[in-house]
Amino acid sequence: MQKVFSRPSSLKETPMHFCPGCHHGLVHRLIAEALDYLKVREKTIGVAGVGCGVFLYDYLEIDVCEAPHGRAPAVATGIKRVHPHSVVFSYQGDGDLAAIGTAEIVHAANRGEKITVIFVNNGVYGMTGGQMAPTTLEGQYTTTTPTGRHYAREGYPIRMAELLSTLQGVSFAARVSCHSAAHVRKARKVVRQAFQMQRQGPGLTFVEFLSCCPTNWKLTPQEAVRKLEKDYIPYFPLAVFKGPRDSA
Amino acid sequence: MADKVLLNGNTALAYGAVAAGCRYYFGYPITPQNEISETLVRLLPELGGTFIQAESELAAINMLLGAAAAGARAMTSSSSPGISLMQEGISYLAGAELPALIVNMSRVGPGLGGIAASQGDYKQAVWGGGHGDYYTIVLAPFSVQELYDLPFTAFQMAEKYRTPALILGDAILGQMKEPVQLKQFNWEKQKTDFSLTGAAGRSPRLVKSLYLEDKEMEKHNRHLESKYNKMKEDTLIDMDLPDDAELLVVAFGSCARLVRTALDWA
Ligand SMILES: Cc1ncc(C[n+]2csc(CCOP(=O)(O)OP(=O)(O)O)c2C)c(N)n1
Ligand code: SF4
Repeated sequence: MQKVFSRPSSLKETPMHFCPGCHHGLVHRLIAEALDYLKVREKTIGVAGVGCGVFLYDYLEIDVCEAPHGRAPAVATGIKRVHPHSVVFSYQGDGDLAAIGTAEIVHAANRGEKITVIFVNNGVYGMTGGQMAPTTLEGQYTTTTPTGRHYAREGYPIRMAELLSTLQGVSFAARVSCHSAAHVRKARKVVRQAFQMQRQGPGLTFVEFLSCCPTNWKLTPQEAVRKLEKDYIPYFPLAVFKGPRDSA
Repeated sequence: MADKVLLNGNTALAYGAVAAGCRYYFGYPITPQNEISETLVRLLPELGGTFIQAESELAAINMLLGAAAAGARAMTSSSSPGISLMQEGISYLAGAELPALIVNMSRVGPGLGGIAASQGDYKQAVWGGGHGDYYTIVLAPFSVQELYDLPFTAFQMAEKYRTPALILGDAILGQMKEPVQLKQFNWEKQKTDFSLTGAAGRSPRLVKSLYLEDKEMEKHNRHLESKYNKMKEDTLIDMDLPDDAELLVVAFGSCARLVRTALDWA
């Protein structure tokens, strides 16, 4: 009988520490699948941002460097410049990439660094216990927006994929989700495309994932998926904003 | 022996770094050390190296961290306010045990301070500077020749102990001109058995400073402590101590030059 589905070899056989209904684990798997598909596991160096994704090295069978909070694109820049033929990616949350690390992502993108950035947007600071993120939606309750986020007080959720797609150094920018099997299939293609385009150059390739954080949204995994569909996708549309559109 | 050339301290340091095998530089402009980057931007590409003007000192120190993790001999330079911004990254370099060179052509502070020479960054330099229990190697040149020579020493020590090294100069040393002998150094390729190169035919490597388990963190810190104690064996000091000395004067940097002259006159 032919084997049609198995654990990607880039993914370690370790139970993951993520909360039930968290999408970090799925994103890890999609990266592993892309590295397998492109046969680049042995050339790949990952850079883990600070957040719930920091344990990237516990799950992926690749070389990994931890970066200080927000600085992963700068660390990835240093690595890629030393090993230009390797495949380098950063893995960052929305606090990491869209708040403390905004300068690093914008300038790595603007320089057209040949790296891939995987951005996990769950609308909150997961690791520190559910504070407001730059991507928190209007009205959303977090521990630092106890009466809900108000635009007049806390400003607006940042759409990073759209913002980065305006920079000339970016060759691919997309937003995907993995909250249903159909969305996982689309996301798989997009992640592959991003890594493939890194190899071809020029420019930075960027994939934003909408991701549930049931723990800090204070919802069950099922409710969290419904919130993602009802509230997140309308504000953060799923699309390829730059690059070949047939990848999604 | 090669003839001497007249160089300012910053330029000499840049030549010295290249002679020491440094091929990667990341930095952000700040007076009084700009000649370092303005020299390296011309030298490095010709040697197959990389020069990046970073968007900030935060980015520069983290590009350096990436290059060091990737196994390169790499450096950054700045002056006091920029070095303050780099402290988090220096702490990460120490925690992750990565060799790298950081040059501080220090200026007067606190705050924006001024661009005149000062030794106000002494405490920051010798007590680690960033968060957590760590020290860096700190080398303090006192002439333009030493600015040329010390990058080699700094890289050797940094690679021997796998820890960041700092050269603490100052505005006077960086700006003044002296004849320099452009020595050749016999540098070896550094050991890279910890470097991230892609896990081809070996198990994956990890560069990290996160230790969430109590025991792990303590073990790591004890290991760092024993390393720092060992580093003291390599202390460099220029000592002129007559048997009948009654007074000991200790100084470093441009100040040491004044002290020398004063002692000669005494
Ligand atoms: C300089 C610095 N500031 C703050 C922190 C604390 N911190 C750790 S993770 C984190 C936010 C993580 O949120 P996000 O990036 O959205 O990732 P998530 O955990 O939601 O996946 C913060 C603020 C830190 N480690 N370093
Ligand atoms: S806190 Fe949120 S982001 Fe972190 S593991 Fe749990 S669900 Fe995932």
